[in-house]
Amino acid sequence: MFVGGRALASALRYNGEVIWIVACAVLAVGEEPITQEPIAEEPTAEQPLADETGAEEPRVEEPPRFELREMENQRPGLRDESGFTLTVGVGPAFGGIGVSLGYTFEATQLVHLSPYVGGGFIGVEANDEAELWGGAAAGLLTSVGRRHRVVLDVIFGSTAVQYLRFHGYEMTRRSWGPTALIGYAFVTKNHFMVRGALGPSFIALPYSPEHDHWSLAAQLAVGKTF
Amino acid sequence: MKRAPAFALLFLAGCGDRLFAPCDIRTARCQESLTNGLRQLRNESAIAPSVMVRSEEEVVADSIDSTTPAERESFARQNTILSLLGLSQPGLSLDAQVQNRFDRVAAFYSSSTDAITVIDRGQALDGVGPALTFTHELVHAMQGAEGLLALASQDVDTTDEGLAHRAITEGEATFYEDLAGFDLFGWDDDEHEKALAYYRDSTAYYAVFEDLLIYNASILFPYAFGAAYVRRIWEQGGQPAVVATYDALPSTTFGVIDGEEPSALLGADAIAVPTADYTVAIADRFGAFIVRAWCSRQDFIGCEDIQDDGFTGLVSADGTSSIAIWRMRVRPPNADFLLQRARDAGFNVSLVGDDLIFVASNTGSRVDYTTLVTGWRSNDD
Repeated sequence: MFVGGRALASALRYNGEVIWIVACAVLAVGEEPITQEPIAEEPTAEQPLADETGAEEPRVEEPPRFELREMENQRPGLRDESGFTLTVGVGPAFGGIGVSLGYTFEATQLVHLSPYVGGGFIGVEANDEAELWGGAAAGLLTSVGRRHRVVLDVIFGSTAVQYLRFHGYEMTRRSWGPTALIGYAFVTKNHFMVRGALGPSFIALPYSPEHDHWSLAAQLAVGKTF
Repeated sequence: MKRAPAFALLFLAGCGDRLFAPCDIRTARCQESLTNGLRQLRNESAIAPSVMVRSEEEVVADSIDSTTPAERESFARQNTILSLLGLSQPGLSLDAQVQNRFDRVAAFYSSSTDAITVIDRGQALDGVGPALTFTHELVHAMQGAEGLLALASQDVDTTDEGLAHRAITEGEATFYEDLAGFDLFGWDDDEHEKALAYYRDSTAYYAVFEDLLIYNASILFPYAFGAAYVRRIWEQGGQPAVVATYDALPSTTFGVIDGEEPSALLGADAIAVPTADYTVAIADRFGAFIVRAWCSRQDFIGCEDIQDDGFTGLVSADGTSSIAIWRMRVRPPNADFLLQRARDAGFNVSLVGDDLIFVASNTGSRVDYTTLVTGWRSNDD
């Protein structure tokens, strides 16, 4: 599974980004460990410096730490991820099925923040008639990790469609409210992100005392930071 | 810190002030709360009806106990006649009909005792449904206090007129129950008219399949068609206009359904005057809701063109022969078309002018109505 995953990734790498994502997903299933180049160790007390022993060994010039970091950042998948992020998906961040546009900030090397706005549509069926409704949302996506990340998505938007059956007639309306999702994301070296998340959604507006206010929301999305 | 109040305002913006809230309708506090909510919607009628929660068995038993043997005999005789044309089922007893009626009733108001009776079927009495049902009955209590129920129940000569009058009393109660429902659910009433149109259409549709149409019309028509009728009046002039309707109640279901009274009434041709061998057991007008539902049930086309009807039930002197004669005035030129469909369906039907005359008997042979009828008269006589 693991070897096959790598082989697939290698074979398809030249066929374009989308297929590269598929290959990455296979790798994720195979739980391939992220290969990192070893970072030169700091000298410790157990490793006495040359001048303390008196031996005239050629001193190795160790680059300063900040230079190491720059080198790390230049490695594929670890370079600065700041930029506009375009995402397509299904879930409350998209008002149904749709797109979102955000800007991703690299707060730290491990923590990324991405405020965004999203819009899309959802199919609504009432009284044997189906129609498409638009939806919108705004949110903040926080991701923690390198390639495998934990994501926290806090959204305010059109969370659900409320139904009220009155004399057999189904009345519908959009409801709005906050949603908090937690989930997993995988980020490729080219800043493609595939993520899935689950969490509670609260129907706040319009307020209906006799409707359930809480529901479980799910989200699937694929995006890229440019 | 400044954002917190703003967010709270945003959150509460949809809450608004609610007039109604679900509560246990057995408690005095809940009854008072619902009454106060209704007063703000309707008017300031001071009411304090007593409230009883009783089992269906108790209510049915009371109702049956209040009937007399003569009423049971009359019911059986009339039911036999009505069954001849499929308006009821043969052999239905008055007791069974009482049970059938209460099967579909959640609560009722009695103006004679000024009491609301909620039928206990083991359901919770503290939810949205009971609160709305109770609100509906509170409207009847207000109508009773204002003398409107008395106005609606006087001078009722036909089944049709009774249905038309009940369309106002039940329509008003259903209308305010609906407004309470919108308030309770926190939902705008901008689709209420659509909901009522759907209610009317679905009620008319399901009426076609009613085996006991003649009886169940009273628990179908007034609510669905009355609510839409009252809403139209209320939109024009509010509650004062609704109250004013009781001084000029619609006299036919044709008027309630079509919005205007029919122009081509049977008048003096409604009820058959039989020969001396027969007595009249039923002289009635059933009206648009019943006659059109019956017509649709026969799979006829053009039922909307029936403008008026007169039903005569005859019983022979020895009581063995029952005859039903149903005269329907049809908007020209569709009488011929309906006649052909009715004959194809096996009905014994004649055409006189623009009127169809259906005849059915329990003698097993086709009866020529002209041998039974010596003339016609108005159903107001």
